[in-house]
Amino acid sequence: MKTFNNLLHLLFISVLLSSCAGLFVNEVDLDKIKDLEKKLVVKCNPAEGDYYMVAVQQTKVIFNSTDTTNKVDDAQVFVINGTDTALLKPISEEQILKFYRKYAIYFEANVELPSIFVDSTKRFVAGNFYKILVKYKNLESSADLVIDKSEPVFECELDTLSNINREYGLRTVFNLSINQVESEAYYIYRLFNYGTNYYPVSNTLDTFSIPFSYPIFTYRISDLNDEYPNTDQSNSIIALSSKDGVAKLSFFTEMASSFKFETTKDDTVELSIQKIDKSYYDYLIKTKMNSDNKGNPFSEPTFIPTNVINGLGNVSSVGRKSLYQFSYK
Amino acid sequence: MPKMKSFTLVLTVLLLAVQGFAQEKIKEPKRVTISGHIIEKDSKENLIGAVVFIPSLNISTQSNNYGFYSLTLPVDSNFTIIVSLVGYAPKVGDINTSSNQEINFVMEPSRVLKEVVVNEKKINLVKDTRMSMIDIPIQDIKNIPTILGEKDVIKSIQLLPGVQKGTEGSTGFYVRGGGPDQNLIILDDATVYNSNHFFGFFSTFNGDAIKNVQLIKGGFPARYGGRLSSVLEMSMKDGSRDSIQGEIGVGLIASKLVLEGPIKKGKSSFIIAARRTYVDLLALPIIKSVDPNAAAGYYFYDFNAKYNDQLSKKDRIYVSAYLGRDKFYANYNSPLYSDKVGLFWGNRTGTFRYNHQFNQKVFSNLSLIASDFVLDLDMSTEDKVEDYSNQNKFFSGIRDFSVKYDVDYVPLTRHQIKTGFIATQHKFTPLAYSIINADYIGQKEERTIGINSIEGAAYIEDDWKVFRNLNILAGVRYSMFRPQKNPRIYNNIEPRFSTRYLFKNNSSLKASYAEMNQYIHLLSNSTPGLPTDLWVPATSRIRPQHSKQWAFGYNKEITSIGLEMSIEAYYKKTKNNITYKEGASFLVEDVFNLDFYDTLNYEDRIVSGTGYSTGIELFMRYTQERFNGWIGYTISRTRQTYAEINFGKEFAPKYDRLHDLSIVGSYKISEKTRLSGSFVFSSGNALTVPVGEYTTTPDESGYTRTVEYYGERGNFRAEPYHRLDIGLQKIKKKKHGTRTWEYGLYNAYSRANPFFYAIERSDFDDDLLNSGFSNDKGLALYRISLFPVIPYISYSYKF
Repeated sequence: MKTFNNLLHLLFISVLLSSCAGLFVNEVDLDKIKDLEKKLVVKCNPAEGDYYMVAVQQTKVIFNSTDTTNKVDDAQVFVINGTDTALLKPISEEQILKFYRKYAIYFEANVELPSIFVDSTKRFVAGNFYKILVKYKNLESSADLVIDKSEPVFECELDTLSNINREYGLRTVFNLSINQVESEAYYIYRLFNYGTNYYPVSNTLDTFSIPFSYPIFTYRISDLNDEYPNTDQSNSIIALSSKDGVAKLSFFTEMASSFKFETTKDDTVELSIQKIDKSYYDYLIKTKMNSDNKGNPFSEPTFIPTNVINGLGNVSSVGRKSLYQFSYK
Repeated sequence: MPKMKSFTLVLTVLLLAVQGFAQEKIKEPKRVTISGHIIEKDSKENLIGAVVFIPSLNISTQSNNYGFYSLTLPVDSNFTIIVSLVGYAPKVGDINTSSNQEINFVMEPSRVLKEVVVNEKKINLVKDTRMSMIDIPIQDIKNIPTILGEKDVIKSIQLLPGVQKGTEGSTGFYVRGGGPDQNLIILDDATVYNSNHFFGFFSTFNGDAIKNVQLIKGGFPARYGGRLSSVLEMSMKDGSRDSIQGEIGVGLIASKLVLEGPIKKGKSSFIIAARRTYVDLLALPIIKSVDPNAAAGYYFYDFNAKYNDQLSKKDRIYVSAYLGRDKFYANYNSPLYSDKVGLFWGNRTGTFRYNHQFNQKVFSNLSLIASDFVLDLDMSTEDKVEDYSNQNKFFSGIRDFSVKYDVDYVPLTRHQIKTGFIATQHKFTPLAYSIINADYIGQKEERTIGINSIEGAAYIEDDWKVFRNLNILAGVRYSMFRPQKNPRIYNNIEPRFSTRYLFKNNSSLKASYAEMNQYIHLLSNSTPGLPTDLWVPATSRIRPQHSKQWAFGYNKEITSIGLEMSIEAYYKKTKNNITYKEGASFLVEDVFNLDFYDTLNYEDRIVSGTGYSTGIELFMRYTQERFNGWIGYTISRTRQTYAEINFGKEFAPKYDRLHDLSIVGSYKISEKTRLSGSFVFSSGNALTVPVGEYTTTPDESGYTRTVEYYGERGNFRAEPYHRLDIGLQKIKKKKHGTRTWEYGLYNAYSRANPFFYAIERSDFDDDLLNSGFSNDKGLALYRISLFPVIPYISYSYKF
């Protein structure tokens, strides 16, 4: 009996050692997943006076290896203003590339960009109501669009504190105050640097919302020093206050030292502000979250909101205002 | 609030009215009181929850947490008295109520539900006024096979109806649609904040030191509060007052020791229990053989100790303590430099309790309780050439000090009143750190983010026998919470109500209603068990979580075959549930984003919403001399709604499962051999997987981003989870004790259950790719499974 017990122990230990408690992997049947159908993605964020232009693509089903393209060059894209209907034309891939390079240095060559449809004879008019309609194969999406009056966006005060030449580029320090925000507002700052040997560069300082009753926090300007807030961040709010229901925001910003281009003489820095609506603000914020958290197993999934009926993307107007231009001599 | 007040008013009026009616109809004769303790035969331990039953009057009471019972009976009568408790042979005796008497009942462990001589009902599921409550005998827990043979209280709880398990192997549990943070886990009156060892694969509770385990899922008596979904109450053993006893156990990953015995025989006793894993010790030589400068490992240990002393016939003290720690370390020490990283976390609890019996009708207990949970991360570097060193310490945790006073009062035959209060000071420390750089003289930076708050509650409840067959357990709990530096004080009234109507055929109908408030929240990512989960208080922006639960049940017992069953339906409504906002994750991000006032910005990262859970639960327990076990089945639906998640649409939370089945059994083949097994089946939980992707047009910063499109939240149901575990115990009596060999198989048929799902990407981990992914298929969804069949073996010797 003792021998039997010992054998039994040996058997269990052998099986134990031979069994592997590592991860094992099996592919899942795709029929179990819902919502696998494709969607049209429509993006149109014009300011008053912009030409009719709509970017369109479709989602790729990520589990389908044969579904390799977002392209929808042969889609039908309409901009309808009352009884006036304009059918937009797709521009060539070369033009798209040129168009995107105008705004983006982070564009990667292997990223497939959306198709762009334009009508360069017609411009969006402030106060008008438009409907964007996109048809592609069996998909049809639409969105309503009202062009907001653009200027003035906000009452702004801009003060250039310093321009400092640094080893890796030129840093510009601003103090910007925005007044007269009477209720919830959403806006974007854009900082362009038009270099001599490079494509123009856009660097958004941030996308902000000012809720109606935002908590008040104020930092003393005397606390700021040359390195403030740190060398990795490009901007920071320094003061946000509310008085008599009117929000007032001031912030201190600098061009980050890690900015990946060199400035030379005759470069121009331009700071502009865009007023956007909540739908566009949410779209931008959630898009960033979705992208940043991709592959993070600890992150909750981020759903990107849309105002496109039966589709994805965002259609809304923006108001632009140039605040500052500076040429380095 | 007006609704609540109205309800309380109505309840009070109703109670008074019915009481008046009852007193008028049923004149209380002159009475005497029978009281005493229920004691286990061998160890002389007090037994909790034993039912003392007078068949002819159809009245009963239960022994409290200290084994004390009290019954008030008509004078000068003869009664048969029955004492019963699951896992023990019933005691039957006759008493004459000529005067007040103290009677202690000594009970002997037994697996048999012998039919009692008198043809009357037993208590437990059928007769108890409370509902949605299950006691599991500790011996049953020890018989259930578990992974690597480590007996686990919480994994046994997961086998009960209404309780969903978390991920494979984890000790997280979800009761009636609530999250793991909504379970109040109590060990000897002390709250245990983190019930996990080894990232959730083992619970912190050493089954050898536990006397009693009780889970309450609904119909909460007023004495419990502070969490929405469940109360898991455990009592440590007191220690044998008769003789020195002990047990040693050796398993594949851990060894343990239990020692108990009298200090002064019959009056005072102690118990100590310790457990430690030793995988790190076994692995160290292997690590050293690869690199003699390196050392790394992981281990956990826990330690329970308890002392009790009968100071006088009416006074008794208990001092109990628990300490559990997990530690992960990685060190490198070379002649040039050294690096050390240590991460440890764990709970400590300490309870001092003083029992005083004022008279036969009034029993009281005063508890002074301390409990804390800490997470400590130490990192240090030393450059021995440059004479530079750097030491970083990060700390977070929660610490409670509580005073609790409870009184049991049995004024009349038909009333058993419990009342008391508790006051707790919480000290939350979401983050503290110190950084020391030795290259600058005196450079040291320290910072502590602490939040204090006060939580208090007072309650009263009455288990009232209204008529012969109708019992009502009604109570009310007042709770308050005051966060630090916060002008808002939360005050809430929580009505509780349970009723039971007993039929003649050993069956009963029950109904209950309970409101609960929860003032502290767990900031957690979706994975339970990580020690980085942090408790934070309600604030003026983050309101307390609140629930209302209705439950109805039918209970039936067939004593002749040892079968008892219950079927319950429930509906639970919650509000102010919290969860992370979309895209928000891991708390480290929060704690390092402190604003300039050193406050934690968690309020900005979470959202509040509402939810509901509804379901039907079936529980059948079979107890015979050779075979015992249970079947638990639940069909349920849970939904939550948050304005900022899923576009404000209702969705199924992660651990919503439609079906959940557990079958547990243990068969005594002979005196020397016992075979046990458990089978679980659960529908897949609700997950969200991306189904499409697209690249955005350049945003205002010129970035293009490839983003994922999900469709709806919960668009994918994980595959069902099912598993069979079997164990065989070989027991042999030796000269000085009993030794047990146990062999078993976890996941006996090697079902590849989902642990998590992953989408293959080009930058996916190479090891995973090599273990089964195929690159030629493009993107695909993969199920990652953790445990195939895992055999285990363990040895224990009890003396």
